[in-house]
Amino acid sequence: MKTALRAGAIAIYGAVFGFPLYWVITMAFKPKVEENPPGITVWYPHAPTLKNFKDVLGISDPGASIFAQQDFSALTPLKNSFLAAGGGTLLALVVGVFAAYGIARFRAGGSQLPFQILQLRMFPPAAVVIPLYFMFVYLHLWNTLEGLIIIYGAVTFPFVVWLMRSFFQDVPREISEAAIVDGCTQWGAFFKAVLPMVKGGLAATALFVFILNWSDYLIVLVMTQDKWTTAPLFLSTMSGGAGGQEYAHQAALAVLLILPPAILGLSIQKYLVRGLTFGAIKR
Amino acid sequence: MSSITLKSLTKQFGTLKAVDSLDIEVPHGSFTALLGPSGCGKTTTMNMISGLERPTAGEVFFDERPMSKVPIGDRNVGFVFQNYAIFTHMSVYENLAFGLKSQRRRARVDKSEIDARVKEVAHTVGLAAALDRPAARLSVNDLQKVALGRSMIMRPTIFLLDEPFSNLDSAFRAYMRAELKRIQHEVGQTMVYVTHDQVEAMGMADRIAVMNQGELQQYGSPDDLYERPANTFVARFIGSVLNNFLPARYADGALHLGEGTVEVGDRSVYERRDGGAGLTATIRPERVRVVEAGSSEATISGQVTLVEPLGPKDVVHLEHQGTAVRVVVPPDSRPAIGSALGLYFDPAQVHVFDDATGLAVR
Repeated sequence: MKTALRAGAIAIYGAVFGFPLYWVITMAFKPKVEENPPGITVWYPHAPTLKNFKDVLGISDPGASIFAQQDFSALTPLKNSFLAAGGGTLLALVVGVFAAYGIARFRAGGSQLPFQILQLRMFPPAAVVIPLYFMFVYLHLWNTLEGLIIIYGAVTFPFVVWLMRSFFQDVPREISEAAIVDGCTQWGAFFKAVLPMVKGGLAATALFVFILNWSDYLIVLVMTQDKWTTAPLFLSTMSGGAGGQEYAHQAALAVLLILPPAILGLSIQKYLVRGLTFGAIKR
Repeated sequence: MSSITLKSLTKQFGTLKAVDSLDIEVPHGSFTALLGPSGCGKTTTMNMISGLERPTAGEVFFDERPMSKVPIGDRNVGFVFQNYAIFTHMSVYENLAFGLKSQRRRARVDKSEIDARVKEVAHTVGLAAALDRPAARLSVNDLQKVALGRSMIMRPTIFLLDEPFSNLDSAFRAYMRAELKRIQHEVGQTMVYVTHDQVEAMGMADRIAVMNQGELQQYGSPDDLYERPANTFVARFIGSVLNNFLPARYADGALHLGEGTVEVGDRSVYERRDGGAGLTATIRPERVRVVEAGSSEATISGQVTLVEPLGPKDVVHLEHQGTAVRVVVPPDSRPAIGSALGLYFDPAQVHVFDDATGLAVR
């Protein structure tokens, strides 16, 4: 009885969260006629096609379809997404990892600094994005890749500091001291001894920050126009010649957007688990 | 080889004096223990010798050379940390080779030399079969060996060991104590060893510096500390069975301990003092002789309250006029609880301390 109830609850839970995913993935393979026919619900693609993906990736033959007059190629937005999210993640990691080590190991900036850094995240982005818009226009950073990278880096930097700080705190200070006694410099000890020990935590942090930047909509909406539009924003603007929503093409792009974080997550899965459970020493 | 000299070495953390004006000379090739309860400043002292901590005042000398301007990596010390500080992302081999690989360009060691030295050290500490294993998979006992091996690879002239055996199980600890002593003889270098375990210090060290609250209490051989403690702290801290402390008073050429009296050798040290009270007499439980209750030989007598069998010996706890007295006896003569025993104190074994200063009356 109890197991039956539990199984039922899990099934309902799975359906509620699984169905949207199912709908997006199946929608991505539906031909135009099955996309949103009036009065009928198409539960699965009857004539599955890769055309939506080809259109979105800009590799379809323009003459092959009567709908091809509309350009659905998301290649540029996808490239922008990679550059902005990747660049922002890299910036946040480089600055944040050093800051976190300084705070964890040397108490840099005093006891209040970590909290002050976290406070940067206490404002909802919507509250600061308009002033940021004016600042960036003034600085000629509006609608530039550098501008996007700087904002993404700044917005996710506090997460890097907080996550990495706790990982560094788990590494005993004797690890770096041992390396220094063995002839390393402070930097050498950091790169050769300490950093390799937190690579699991670093991988988890990188993934987390990348997902945040990759899925941003609000910042890119305000801070860019056309040229540096990223994929999530482009997705919302996809519409047909008559102004109707292009559900199948949007779904195809959405599926493509899921892939990079998923692949990244799977490839570092080994480190993710170890990052959370691995202690540096035995006591 | 190197000797170590500490001259009025002081370390202050805020308002706390962790180490207070310490003067110690560690001769060439000796095995010296820094002994004291936790928080007494022994690890801080060690860190100042290695260079991990900068002294607030005073100076560390290796031979005659002041060390304050010498960076840690150039001091040529081998350090074993309490938690071993093993690089768990590396194999045993890489851990041992780390120091050699981290040398600056001009002092770079070539690969075949590294390989030979790693194998030599692995053999010395007993890790030759485990070189390829990831350090993360080692037992605590093997981690200890890696830590020891890593401290030896640079062929340091000074070894610093910070409570290296405190995480080991007791059987392996006894084994490693003997091992370390053997290695010390083999390499013949100066070793400084921090511990809070007086058995460890007494068993291994040539010389022991007893510290408490940042101050040196006594520095001498294990026999000095055991036979001639300088103050009540040392008298209490040294010895596997807790020492006996009896309130005493001097009058008419003798010490009065409760009902009993003990003749004193040198009356003059007592006669210089005002009055004769405010003294504490100590005698090691191993040095008390049990005699028949009421016999003329007995210095004092007491009621047995507890018997602790320890295998080769028993510790008998007695009460004498509200003061606990412990006696070590062979296990064949185990007395009944509540029975009365006479205790004979050999005057030569009785040490007297001044209650006001805690120092030995000599």
